[in-house]
Amino acid sequence: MPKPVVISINENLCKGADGCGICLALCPKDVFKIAERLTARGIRLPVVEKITACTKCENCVIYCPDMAVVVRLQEVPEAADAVRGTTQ
Amino acid sequence: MSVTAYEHPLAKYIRPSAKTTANCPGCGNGILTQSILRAIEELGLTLDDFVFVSGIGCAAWIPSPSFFADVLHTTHGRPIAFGTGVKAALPHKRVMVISGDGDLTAIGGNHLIHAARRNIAMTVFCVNNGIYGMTGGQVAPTTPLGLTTVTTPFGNVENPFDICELVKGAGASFVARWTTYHPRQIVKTAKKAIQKKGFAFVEVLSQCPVEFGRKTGMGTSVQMLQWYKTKSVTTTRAKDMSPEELRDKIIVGEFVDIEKPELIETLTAMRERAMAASS
Amino acid sequence: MAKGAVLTGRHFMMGNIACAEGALAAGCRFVAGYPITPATEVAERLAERLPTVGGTFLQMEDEIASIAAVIGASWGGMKAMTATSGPGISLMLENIGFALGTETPCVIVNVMRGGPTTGIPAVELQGDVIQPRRGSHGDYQIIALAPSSVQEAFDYTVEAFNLAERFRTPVFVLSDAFLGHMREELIVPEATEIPIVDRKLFPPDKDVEALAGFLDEDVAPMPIFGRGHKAHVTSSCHDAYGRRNVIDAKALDLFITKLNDKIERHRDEIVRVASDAAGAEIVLVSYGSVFRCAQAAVEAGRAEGLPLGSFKLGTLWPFPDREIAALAAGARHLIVLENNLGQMFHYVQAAVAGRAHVSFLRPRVLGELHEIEDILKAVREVRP
Repeated sequence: MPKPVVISINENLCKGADGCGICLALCPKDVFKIAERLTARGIRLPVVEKITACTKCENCVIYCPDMAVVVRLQEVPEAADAVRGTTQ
Repeated sequence: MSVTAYEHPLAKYIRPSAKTTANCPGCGNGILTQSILRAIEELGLTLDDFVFVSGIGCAAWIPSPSFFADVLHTTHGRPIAFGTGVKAALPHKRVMVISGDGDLTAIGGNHLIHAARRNIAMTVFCVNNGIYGMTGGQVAPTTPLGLTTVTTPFGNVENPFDICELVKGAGASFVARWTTYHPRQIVKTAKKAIQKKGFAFVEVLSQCPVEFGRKTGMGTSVQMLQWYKTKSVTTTRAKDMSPEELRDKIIVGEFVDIEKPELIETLTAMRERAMAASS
Repeated sequence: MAKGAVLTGRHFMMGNIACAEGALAAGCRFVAGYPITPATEVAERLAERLPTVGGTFLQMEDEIASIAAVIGASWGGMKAMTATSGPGISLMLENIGFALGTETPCVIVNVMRGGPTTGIPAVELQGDVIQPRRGSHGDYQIIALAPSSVQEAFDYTVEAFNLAERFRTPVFVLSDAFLGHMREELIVPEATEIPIVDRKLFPPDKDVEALAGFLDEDVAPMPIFGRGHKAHVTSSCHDAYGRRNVIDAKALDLFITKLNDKIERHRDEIVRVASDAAGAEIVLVSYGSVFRCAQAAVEAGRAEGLPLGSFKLGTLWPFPDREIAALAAGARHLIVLENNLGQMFHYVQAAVAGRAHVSFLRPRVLGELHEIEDILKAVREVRP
């Protein structure tokens, strides 16, 4: 069984899907959507909507101008979250 | 839920005090940043193998201060000239210049053509956003004819450069062009450029959503990337197209990759001759 | 052709060549330049000599590229110099500011010629003596030496390198068309007898995060490239760690004052004057080739019983204000001799601050040196 994918978006590096939105546009599988709520910094983050559609093409990783997106294979299966946010 | 984000695979190359950039949201420069760092990593090199030199403008802020390496952030237009001195003093270090189209072809044009003529071993990334972004959207030598900018409010009256033709004509031994729509191709070309024993010039068209896109009406960052995708034609395809068909296209790929005498090598041999003759 | 970097011995040599030899003796191994009369012999000599001693000479595409390459080479660890004339300095001033702001040691030789603008290339004028101090934009300090003989063209160039290394700053050598092209005796000592100063460096394993390579009034070690220091060198306003700050005026204040204090607090170490004015009521203040006229006038004047002395400015910048004030306290009248319309004169006047009379004497013909009889006439006019 293939290892699940985890997409991590660094909230402090991302400049927001409204101003940028490149990961959403360059994802061939429409994995992302825009968050509804603003963060404390006043931006709307991209949010993973369909993790199972992800093919690990890593377009989101290499096209992100702020190095905010990381795609990894989960080493240890985690119960719920396929998405990791950040406060770091 | 407060979970730490994964560290980006290239994060180790970023100066700890400069984790975020001053770039606008959606700026293409960050895409090039990744491609350059990825190329260096894939070559098995470290940033300490390099000295990075940049001029003035948003592109010059790619290595300065973000790259965790020796970085020389110079006066406007002059990184290639400063870099020539660095290379002469540290011939075993790889000098990489990353700067914008205004910096390298307008005020810095003279240094660009002479370095190309000398074929000094140096990798130069010319980040071409078609505008003077940092100062607020003034016309650049690469702005298309007719475009409205803040200093051409009635339309640009000048023809733009084909920078790659200019550098090829000046004598560079490696010349290539990509856009930020092509980050993987940039990595491949960058690896060649870094390895090239000569003046290796890579023009990268990069979207400037705020000063170019918004002020000239060209669109958002995503729209500009789409535009790069649609307008790009590889050298292979371009060979079979007429000048009329190519008129509004962006030809991408590697244009020049030749062997010719390189400055530092010739200089070193000359010095050895001079020392032998005087002993 | 000469062998070795230091031409120990007795020579009959042209000023420009002596300057080039001084650079080599000081350890200069990188020169980038562009041809300009009357400085070209400096470059030509170095083009011949540098490769034979393992150095590099590059003729760049213009003066701007020349000073840029010099600064780049200095950050690569080399002692580096360029030589030009007034029009070239005008082109270089922006990058000289870069060297100042990034604390880059380097030497800039100006073999001054007739200006303004293209003027007369092969005629001497002391026209560019304020230019080092105020020519680049912004508020800054500079060091400038004014040799007055072929021997000094050698010695002061060595000194310029030492000061550049000691204070991590660009240093001017203000020569001129006469000095550059005249021939005199030059004595070059043994290499071991020439004092050489090298810049302070950080140890190679110095923790990168703790590298404070800038803005120390007592001169920070230089985090040169190629040693793993990962130095960030920018002419933008920055802090002691080279981190750019283009937002806070407080950061700019620190940037300006620290760089200023670095030179000003050490001015006693830098200022050079030569005084032959003990008990003299009337003192001729001069520098560069005009000093030779002053010297000759003092000799002739004393022979006819005039109470005459001379005072030579060896450094024009930092300006020897205290030394001039002390001189004025013991004299009645200072006559400032310059081959221009009065440039250092105003600084002398300010430093004298009324303690003595100060007047200015230009040559009869600008571009020619003062006639001795004209100087003595002026002296007789002011004696009681």
